[in-house]
Amino acid sequence: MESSSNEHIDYVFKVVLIGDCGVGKSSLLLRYSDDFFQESYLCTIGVDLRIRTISVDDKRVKLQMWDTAGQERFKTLCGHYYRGAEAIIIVFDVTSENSFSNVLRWYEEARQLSRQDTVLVLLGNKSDMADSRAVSTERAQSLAASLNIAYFESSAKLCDNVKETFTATTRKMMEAYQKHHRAHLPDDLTNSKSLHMSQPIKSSTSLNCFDCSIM
Amino acid sequence: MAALDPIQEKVVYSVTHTYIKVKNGSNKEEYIYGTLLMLEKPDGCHIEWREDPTHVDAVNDSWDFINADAVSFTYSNSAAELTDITPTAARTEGSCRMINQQKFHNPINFHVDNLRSFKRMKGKLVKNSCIMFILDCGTSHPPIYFPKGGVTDKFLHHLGKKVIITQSATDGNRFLVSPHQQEALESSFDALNLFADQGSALSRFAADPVRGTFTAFAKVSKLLTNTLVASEDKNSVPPEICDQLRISVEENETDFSAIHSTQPEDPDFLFIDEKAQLPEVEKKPRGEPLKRAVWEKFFDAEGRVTNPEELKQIIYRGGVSHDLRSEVWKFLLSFYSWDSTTREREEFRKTKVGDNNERLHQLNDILMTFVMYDFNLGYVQGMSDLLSPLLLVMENEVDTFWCFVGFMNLLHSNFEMDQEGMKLQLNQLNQIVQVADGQLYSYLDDHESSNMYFAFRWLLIVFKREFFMDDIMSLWEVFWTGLPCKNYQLVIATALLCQCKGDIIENQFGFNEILKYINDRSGDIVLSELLIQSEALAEQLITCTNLPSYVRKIISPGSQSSATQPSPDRKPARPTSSPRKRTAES
Repeated sequence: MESSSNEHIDYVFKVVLIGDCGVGKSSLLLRYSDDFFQESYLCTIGVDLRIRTISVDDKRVKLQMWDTAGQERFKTLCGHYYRGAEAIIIVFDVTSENSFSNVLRWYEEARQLSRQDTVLVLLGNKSDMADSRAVSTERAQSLAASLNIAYFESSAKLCDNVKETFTATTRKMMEAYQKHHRAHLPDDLTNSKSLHMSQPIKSSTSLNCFDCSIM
Repeated sequence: MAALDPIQEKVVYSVTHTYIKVKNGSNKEEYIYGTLLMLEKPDGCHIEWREDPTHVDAVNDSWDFINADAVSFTYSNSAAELTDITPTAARTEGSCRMINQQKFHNPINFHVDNLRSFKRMKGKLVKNSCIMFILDCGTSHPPIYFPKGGVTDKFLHHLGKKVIITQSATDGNRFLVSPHQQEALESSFDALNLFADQGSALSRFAADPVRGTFTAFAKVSKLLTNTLVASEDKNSVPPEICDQLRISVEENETDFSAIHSTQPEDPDFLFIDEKAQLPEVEKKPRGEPLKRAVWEKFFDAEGRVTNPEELKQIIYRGGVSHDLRSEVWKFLLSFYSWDSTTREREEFRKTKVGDNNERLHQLNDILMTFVMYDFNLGYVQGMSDLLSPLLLVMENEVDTFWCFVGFMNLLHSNFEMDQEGMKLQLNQLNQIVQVADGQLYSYLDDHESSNMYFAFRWLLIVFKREFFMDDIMSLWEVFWTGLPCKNYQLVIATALLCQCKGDIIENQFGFNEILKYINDRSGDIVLSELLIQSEALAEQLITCTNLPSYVRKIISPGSQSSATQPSPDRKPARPTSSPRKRTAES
């Protein structure tokens, strides 16, 4: 192929990972975007962003994946970034009962800040740690079923089922998009070099930027 | 690294023996060698840098002051919350590499259509020429060095066949990239004469025939932006630019009014700003770090520090030698008071050790002790970032704990549940940026970023994640002196943002890209340069005659502020039996 055609992108989706501290949100994203696993733990301060372009069912999809701080008091800042997300992945740690019992709170949080057609997914991470597992696959599945959302299990450490989870989530976003025909894919996207979708709502004045409900 | 797949990709051009600079666990600089490749893949042209694992060359620096084994505490896996840091050598390496994991493990591998710009650096500061790629999503890759020099020209010549390259009007080392719309315009690259620095972007613009409306508009808008950046503080677009706009637009039979609306005559045009005139100040080189001989001269016969203000001034200007840190930090963090005698300090330390006879062997224990000590605050993410440099410097856990308490006193409001301290700081940053650089402020405001959310990490943990360990210790010493003004961290943040201005504006980054770009700066910021600029900016603000009163309040001592003033409703950090008294906040 000699001529350099523009990289063709069919969809641009914003995916947000939420869940308790230490469940592996950053590790999942690092594994998925860079195929790397960091043994030591470093909590996310504020938010971080990773980009990956993938092919799903012959479509080119640019995923803009947001990593958020897990601690309660930072929710208000991170909530700013949930807005306009096409998918929210609620992550818990299968070895931590506590992180599992907080899933419902994260679900409520996600529902409040998402649209009706936002894809929600439950993801149990650290499936490699079978010896210390505290939450069975069946329990997690049944919770996901009661919330009417999909459940996946993964190990960022062993690179197990990470890619599959993101691919399946992407497929769900494409279905949701086709179903709702949301006009968020700009016509000139294939020409444009920037990601302009899902921009946060601009606050009225800069000095009152925290007056909005999320803070 | 994956091997080349001859079916899926074809090497258009490659440069071997290039390298990327990294810092290893001991904060030494290390070069990782690899090959820069231009590849044709089924979906188009890609640029990749692949590490050559057989060619690793460590370059020893003259300094090696951080002994990674100096700290020993054990790692507990029980509470992920409290295990931000892994122990001993692994920990140091972890935190050093971690800060830059993006750079190590985010492989340089992108489609050329995602390339927004690149910077080449060459000259007195950089021995070997290098190139740094910035992508449209805000990702900035680490500089790739070319020890063989001129190879870059050939590489860029090939790149010029794939994309249109335009030299920035403001920074001769920055080249903006836009995709080829139709045919390959090999001439456009050659016309640039990339490494010669000859001719202006304008003449090139005039010489380069416009090929199609889209390209014309891209160029026009970029040129306009660039020129406006260049003519900072001037309210008019140079007439020759206007002429060029007119010519290029008329050539393409496009509606002129669309462009005209962005010209400065428009009352809504935000580049015009009735702002406070900051006075010109001279940038001063950084001073010498405080050495033992100088330090010892400050003590009187009984061990009191005779002139703490002068001492703080020295530290503010040059930091502290590493071997003195464990002594000096105890004063800076109000564990010891400046006017205490050696005897009083010894007594005091004994009472402290008595207070804490429980084990403080571990990072976890220190944090847990703090959580019990300041029960209402609890453990908050980021606290362990503040603790780890203290652990490296202090000889024992008790000293570490009390210095940590002193540090947390300064930053308490950052971590409170309601986050009011952080909100206030982001608002204050907004106000300072407005005054310091109206043009940058306007750009941020136009791109949903005047909320300054991207600076959250900077301010929450005072730039800890942006620097390697040695640099963050130097920066914090400066911050702890309380000089030269209140809320100096906001001045530093503004200076850092001003450093990023060219990249942000010329790459036309929006809200998402700005966040990504700011996060990617981690590990790439030159501290001494930043502190020189921050010092100058602080002086400009302090001496400005028509500084808005709300900005004056932020930086003036005595006024209510965020990070450097303890909240009134907090319990006192120290026992009242202490012979020390609280030192004035600058």
